[in-house]
Amino acid sequence: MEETLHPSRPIAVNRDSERKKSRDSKLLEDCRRGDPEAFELLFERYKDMVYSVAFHLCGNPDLAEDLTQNVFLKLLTRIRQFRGDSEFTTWLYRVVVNAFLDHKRAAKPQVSLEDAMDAPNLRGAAPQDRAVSRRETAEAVRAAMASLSYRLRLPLVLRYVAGLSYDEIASTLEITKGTVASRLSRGHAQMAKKLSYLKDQHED
Amino acid sequence: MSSLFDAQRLLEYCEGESTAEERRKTEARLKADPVVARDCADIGFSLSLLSSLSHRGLPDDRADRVRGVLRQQALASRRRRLNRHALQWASAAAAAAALAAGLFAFQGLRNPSLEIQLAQGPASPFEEVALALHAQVCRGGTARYDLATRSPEEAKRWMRRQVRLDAGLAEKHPGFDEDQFVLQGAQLVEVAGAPAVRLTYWIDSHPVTLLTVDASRLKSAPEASLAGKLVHFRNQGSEFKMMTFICRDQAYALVSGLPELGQKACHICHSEPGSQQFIAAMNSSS
Repeated sequence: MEETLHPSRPIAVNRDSERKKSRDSKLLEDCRRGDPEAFELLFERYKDMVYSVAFHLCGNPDLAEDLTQNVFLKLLTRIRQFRGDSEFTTWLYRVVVNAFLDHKRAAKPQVSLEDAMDAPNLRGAAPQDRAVSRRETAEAVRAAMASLSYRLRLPLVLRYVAGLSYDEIASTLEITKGTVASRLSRGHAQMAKKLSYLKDQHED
Repeated sequence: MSSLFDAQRLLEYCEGESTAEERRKTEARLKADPVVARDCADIGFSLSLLSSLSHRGLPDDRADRVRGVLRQQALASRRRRLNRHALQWASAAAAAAALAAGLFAFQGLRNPSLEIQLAQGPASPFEEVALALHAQVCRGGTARYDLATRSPEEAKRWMRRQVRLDAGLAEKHPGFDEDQFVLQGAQLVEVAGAPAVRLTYWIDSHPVTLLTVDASRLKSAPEASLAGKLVHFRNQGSEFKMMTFICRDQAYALVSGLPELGQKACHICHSEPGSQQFIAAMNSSS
């Protein structure tokens, strides 16, 4: 019971330290001055973070690469707009989220990523009859996540992949902290429902 | 979530981030309210499953591609800034970039970001072939056509049938006299051992060569941008103007002696009113 109620945090929270802030501050200043080497360094520093969030938002490596590229292309031209009023990472996640939402708006309605990710084996015959490996679990979780509406998916990814605080998620998505909590709760409830067939294997 | 219990408090408890006091209160509530207890179990189960999501770093091959596009973009921006007042035809290049943007958008491709760059360094083997084929016609040599036709549609069908290559040749050129754009024919050629097609047009009495080949067959294909269409312009000895680019996995070289950037040759494929206006704007700005 104790383990069920207090699972460890899924993915380590990635909060910036003061030292990292200071390091970023110099880097960002160089980027704003148009220093190409600084921008390369910025890319190296944040590419994995951006890709990881993009991947878990869209569930497709090719699209995640496109989103990552679009994000950094936008940074090239918009980095001067970052005034340091918020954490750079929060601002960066907002760019990622906007790139994702732009993609959602531009995507043809008949091409449903969620449908594509709704792996047949999730709905196939008696999945509870077979042993589920960690990799299969991860696939099932990704598919379940991709089938959530993006309103529920965004806070889940920002919280458990990006490791943002509720305040940071609220700022990134421009919603209230209460709405963040509400969407996270609904997201968890839907995830639990969609993946309930894994319960037996998971508790073993 | 069916219970009215405070969502954030429950989440923080499940994530192990409650204060001792909050934790005590929440546990008392869990014992008293089976609905909250069920919600809590759902969150706990979901959290434990989310732990299977691993951090996904950008794979090296993907990182290389993105890095390449960013470098091109950064370089182009920098070059634009440096050359803004130095190059006589910078305005034409900018207009060409906008033209390319317009053409790209027209093609319905997803991302309208694109760039036109001045080609640097010596011509690539692909460009050399295009220049040599074009020079052949300019020297008065008679091109040997495997298909002599004035019909772009017939040429397209023939290309697909012969070598599975495509080209978006416009059938009509509204706003122009039809004798301004006259297809002469198509010829099968080889570029670096790969089958290619050379199309010859006459535009305003100037010969124009369009060479295309499967870009994956070239060792030094024109640089492509994942973000959009990237057009390289080369002014070869002030005589030939050449644009090279990749479109739908095919490499293209468009060579002519037409005025300015030779941009009128773009009408071979782009005859829409929007494109025409854009090309007209280029004329006035150069």
